Amino acid sequence: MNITVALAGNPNCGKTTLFNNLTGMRHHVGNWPGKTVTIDRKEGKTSFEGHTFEIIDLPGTYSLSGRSLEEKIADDFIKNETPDVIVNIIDAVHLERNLYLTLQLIEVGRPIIIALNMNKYAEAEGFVIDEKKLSAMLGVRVIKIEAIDETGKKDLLKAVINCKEKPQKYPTYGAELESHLTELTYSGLTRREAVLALLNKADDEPEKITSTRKHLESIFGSNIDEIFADNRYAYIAGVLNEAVHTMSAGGKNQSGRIDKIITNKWLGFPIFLGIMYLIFQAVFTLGAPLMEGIDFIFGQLGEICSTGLTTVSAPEWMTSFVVDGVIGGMGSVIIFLPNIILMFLMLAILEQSGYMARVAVLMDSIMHKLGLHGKSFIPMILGFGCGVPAIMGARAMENRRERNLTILLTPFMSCSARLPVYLLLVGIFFAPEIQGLVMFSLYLLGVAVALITGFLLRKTLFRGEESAFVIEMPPYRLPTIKGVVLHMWDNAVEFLKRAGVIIFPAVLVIWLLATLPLGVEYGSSESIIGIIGSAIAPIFAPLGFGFAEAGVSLVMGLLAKEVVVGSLATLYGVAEDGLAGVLTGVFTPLSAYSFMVFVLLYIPCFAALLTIKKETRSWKFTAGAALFYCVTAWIVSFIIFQGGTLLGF
Amino acid sequence: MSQNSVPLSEIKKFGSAEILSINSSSEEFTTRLLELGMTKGSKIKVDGRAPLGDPIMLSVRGCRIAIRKKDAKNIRVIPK
Repeated sequence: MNITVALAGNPNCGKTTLFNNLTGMRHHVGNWPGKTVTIDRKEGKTSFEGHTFEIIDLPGTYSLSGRSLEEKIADDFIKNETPDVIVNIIDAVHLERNLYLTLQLIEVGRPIIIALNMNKYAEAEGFVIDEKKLSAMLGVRVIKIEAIDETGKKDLLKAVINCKEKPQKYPTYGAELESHLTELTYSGLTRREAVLALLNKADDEPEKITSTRKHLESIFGSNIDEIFADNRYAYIAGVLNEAVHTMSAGGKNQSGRIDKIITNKWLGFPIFLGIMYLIFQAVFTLGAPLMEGIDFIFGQLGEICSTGLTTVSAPEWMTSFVVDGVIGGMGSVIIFLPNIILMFLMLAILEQSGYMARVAVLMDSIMHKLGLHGKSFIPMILGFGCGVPAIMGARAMENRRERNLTILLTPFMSCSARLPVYLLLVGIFFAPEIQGLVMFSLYLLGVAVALITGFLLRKTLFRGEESAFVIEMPPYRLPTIKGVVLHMWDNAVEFLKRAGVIIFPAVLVIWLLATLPLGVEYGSSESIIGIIGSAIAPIFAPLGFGFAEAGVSLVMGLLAKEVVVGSLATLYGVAEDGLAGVLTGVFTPLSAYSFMVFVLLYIPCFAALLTIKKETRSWKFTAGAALFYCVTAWIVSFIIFQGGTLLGF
Repeated sequence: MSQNSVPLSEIKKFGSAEILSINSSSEEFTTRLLELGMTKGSKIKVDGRAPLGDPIMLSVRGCRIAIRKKDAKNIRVIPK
C-alpha cells in the first residue's frame, strides 16, 4: 500500500535529517505546482513491511499562519494535497515553542503523529519528557526518535502505517474563546476554519466573524493574534506541566557558552573572517592533489583515444573533435569537481552547525545600515556554492521587497562555477605568493558590489519600510557525517549533470561553430564564431579584452560559467596546459583581472536566471535583473581597467 | 501601562524581565514574536548584544532569538 507522509516541523528540528535518514539516496527534488506558488519540493521513497512510503519534506515553519512563503507552501500542501499522515517532528529541547506549530497541525484535523527528536540533548539540559503523558494530553501518538540514527525509526514507520484516525481531540483554549469557537462551528465551519477566519481579517468575511472578533478583542483588551497566542501558550503550559519533569535547574547550556565567544564584541568579526579564510584555504589546498589526479586521468584518456583513432586511420578532424573538443572540453570542467565538492562540504558544515544564524546576527548591524537585512546574508553565503539553491534560500524572508532584492543580489556572490575561470587566469598572470590574495579579492569584490548596489537600489527602486528582524539562534550541533555527505553528494551529482547536459553540448556547439563554414582555419576570424566574436568584441575594448575569443567565451558562459574556460581552450584549439602560452599573448595581468571581474558580475547563468524567474514569478523582473548584471559588470570592469591603466598597472 | 515598565532595549546583559506589551507598528513583527512565545507575562533573559551593539540576543521559553534595538524599544517589559 502507498502512504503519503508529510514531514512538518520548526526550522532546525531535525526534519531534513529524518528525511535523509528515511529516504537515503532515494530522493529527488520535484516540481510542485502549489496553489500560491510553483516551487521545488523534496520528496523521496522508503518501504517497510510491505508498504511504500512517499515522503515529502515540507519547509520548516514556526506556524501555519501563512505569512511567509514557506508557511504558505506548508499550509497549501497540507490543505490541498491531503497527505495520508502528517509526521510532526519536534525538537525536545525546544518542546514548548515547537508545540505551538503542533497545536495548529492538530487543528488541521488530519491523521498526525509526533516524532519527538533530540531526546538526548533534552536530558543533557536537565529535563525528561514522558511521551505517554504527552500523547494523552495532546490526543496524538508520540514516538521518541533520534533522527541521526536508527532509534525509534521502526516504531515511527509502524505508527505511520497504523495511523488512520484523526486526532482524538483538539487543543482547548480558555472558556471565553471556546464558547465563541463552538458557536462558529454550529454555523457550519470546521474548528480550524473558525480559528483561521478569526485570525485572518478579510474584507468579504461574514458579519458574524467580524462581530465575534470585535467582541473577543474588547473582552481580552488585546488584538486577536495576541489572544490566540496567549491561549495556545497557556494550553501548552498545561501540557508541559503534566508531561515534563525537570531534573535539575538549568542545564549545561553549551551553546550559550560558545556564543559568548562567537558573538563576543572583539572576537566576533575576526572569528567570522578567520572561518571564511580557512574555508577558502581548505577548498583550494585540499583540492589541488585531487585536481592533479583528474588532470592525469583525462590526459591519459586523450592519449589513448588519440593513438586509438590514429591506428584505425580516422580522419584528422574526428581525432581533433574527440580529443580537443570532447575530452578536452569535459576535462577542463570536471577538473574543478574537487573544489566544488569541498566548497559544498564547508557550506554544509556551516549550515548544519548553527553558525550561519550567528553570521546573520553578526552582519545585521552592517546590513541594516545599508537598508538590508541580516537574513539576506545567509543566501549570499550559500551563493558561494551555487546561486540556484541560494536564490531559493531567500524564501525564508517574509517581506516580498526584501526577498526580491536578496534574490537580485545573491548572484553577485562568486559561485563555484566561476572558480575555474579564476584558477586558470590567476594561475597564469599572478605570482604564486599573491594568487590566494587575488582570488580572495574577487570574492570580496562580489560582496562589495552586492552591498553597494543593494544600498543604491534600496534607496531607489526597492524603497519602502524595512521589515523587522527576528531570527532564531538554534543551539550548536555537531554536523552529522551522513547529512554533510548527502548534501555534498547531491551537489556533486548536480554538477556532473550540468557538465553533461549543458557543458557538453555547449562544447560541441563551439567546436562546430569554430569549424564551420567548412574549410576555414579552426576558430579563425572567418569561422562563424569568429564573426560573432568580432561583432561583439568592440563592446569589451574599453574593459581591456576587446578580442573575438573573449567575446565568444563570455557569450558561451551564459550557459554556465565553467564553459568560459572550456570554450577558451576549444577556441584556441589547445589543451588546458597550452592555454597559458596563448593567453599571455592577449591578456595583461590587468586586463585578465578585468575579465575575471566581468565574469564575476555579469549574468550568472541560465539556470540561475530561470530560478530567479521561478522564485519571483516575473519575466519582467528576470529581464531587468539580466540587464542589471550586464550593466553593473561593464561599469565595474571599466573602472578597474581604466583606473588600473591610469595608475600604471 | 505599569509604572515600573521599561523598553526591552534598556535591559542590561544577563538581566531578566517579564513581557508587558508589544507595541510595534508592524503586525508581522508582533505575530512573529507571539509565535516564538513572547506573549504577555512570559519571561525573557537578555543574553547580550552582537559585536556592533545591535541586535540584542535574548532567551524566551528556552529558545534564543535576536531582535534589533529599535524594535526592542517597542516592547515594554517589567524588569525582574
